[in-house]
Amino acid sequence: MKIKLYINNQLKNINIHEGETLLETLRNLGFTSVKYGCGTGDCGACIVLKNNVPVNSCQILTASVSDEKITTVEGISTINKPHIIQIELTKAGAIQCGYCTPAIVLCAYALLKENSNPSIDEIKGAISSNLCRCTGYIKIIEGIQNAAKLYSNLFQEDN
Amino acid sequence: MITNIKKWYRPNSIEETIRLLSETNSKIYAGGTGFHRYKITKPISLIDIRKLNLNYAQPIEGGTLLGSSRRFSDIAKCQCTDGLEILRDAVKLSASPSLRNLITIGGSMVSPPSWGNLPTALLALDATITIQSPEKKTYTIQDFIETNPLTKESIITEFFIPEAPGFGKYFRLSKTKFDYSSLDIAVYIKTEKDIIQKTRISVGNIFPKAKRLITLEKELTGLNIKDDKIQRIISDFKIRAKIKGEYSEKYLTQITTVYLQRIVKELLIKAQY
Repeated sequence: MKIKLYINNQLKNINIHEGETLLETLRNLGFTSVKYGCGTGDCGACIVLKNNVPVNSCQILTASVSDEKITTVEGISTINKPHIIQIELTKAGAIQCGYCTPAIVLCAYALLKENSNPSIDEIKGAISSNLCRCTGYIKIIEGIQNAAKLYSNLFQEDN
Repeated sequence: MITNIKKWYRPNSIEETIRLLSETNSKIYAGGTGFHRYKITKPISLIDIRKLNLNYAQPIEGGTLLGSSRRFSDIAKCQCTDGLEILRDAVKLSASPSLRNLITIGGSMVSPPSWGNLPTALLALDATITIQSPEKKTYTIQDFIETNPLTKESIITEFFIPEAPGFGKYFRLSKTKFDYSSLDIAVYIKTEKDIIQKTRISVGNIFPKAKRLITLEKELTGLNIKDDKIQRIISDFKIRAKIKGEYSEKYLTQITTVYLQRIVKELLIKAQY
């Protein structure tokens, strides 16, 4: 079937299978920052933003989000111009294997867009959908805190 | 990929949805999270109900109407400080934040295992549920749970949550933060001049279906909030867990009484100040 999707602010007319998940569609289109983890919505590796809120793309059939706005990490940064959240996570030593990182970046991005001065509890809440088996979360929280402190106005500029 | 999904419909009205449900081999797709837990073994079509605009929260006289597509994350934003805390906390404690951005209140009552916490919370709030198929019928949550009136041709359209000016608490026991509940309890108490005017107590996940403890409610209603008998009445009340899960029935039976005592005590202390 044919549907329209706004991926990273670009309108895409795409052909999908009726039973295809958003995770599969995005990876097929080359957005490989979106990771397959558990396939049951438990690990959060597949999180993307749907209309600016984090959702598990493995739990969504693509046909059900036609005409909606999807954001992946490719939509907020490039290799040469990483997002400040990515820079601060790197500086804090919050990235080891990196598999969970794109989803964490997006969850942090959604949080900071809503609240540029989050408390530690709010940061913990925002990334509580994400499982990271390497870092133990302390450095991730530190990285997000630092990003918030340094660039509290950035997200208003993005809009 | 679920290869047995063959077609999507996008109806503009509830009537059209019901017609599609009766004329085609189709299922409603709302949040979708429960759907991914089924094995789809035969070809089916799906009905995307986004155009029905059932994601509203509308205050009306005596309470609030919630459309069945209202998402858990929206319900969790409730700034309530009264008995509606029961519903807010029940959805806040369901699944992870990213899943709560998908799960709908209607879908959660349809998909077994339900995301777990809603039936118990809705029972304590004396909520009602409206189903259309094609005639519109409203059921108490108790009746809905007992009789399961949903058919292949029906759609849950709306919930009515009555005002809850007293105090309420929702509690759940689970092995991990986002796991399904092994036990959940919701208690609503309204007092006036230190007398318990209304009590609703519901318990879920330790029985095959969540239920109200009507006898216990009656025993507590009318007592003074400082009455020493209250804790003893709860302690003497016979609750028997009847489900085999991650904990033994004996443990669940004992822990239910203990948590019930604590919750009622906490609410009655709140009522004093």
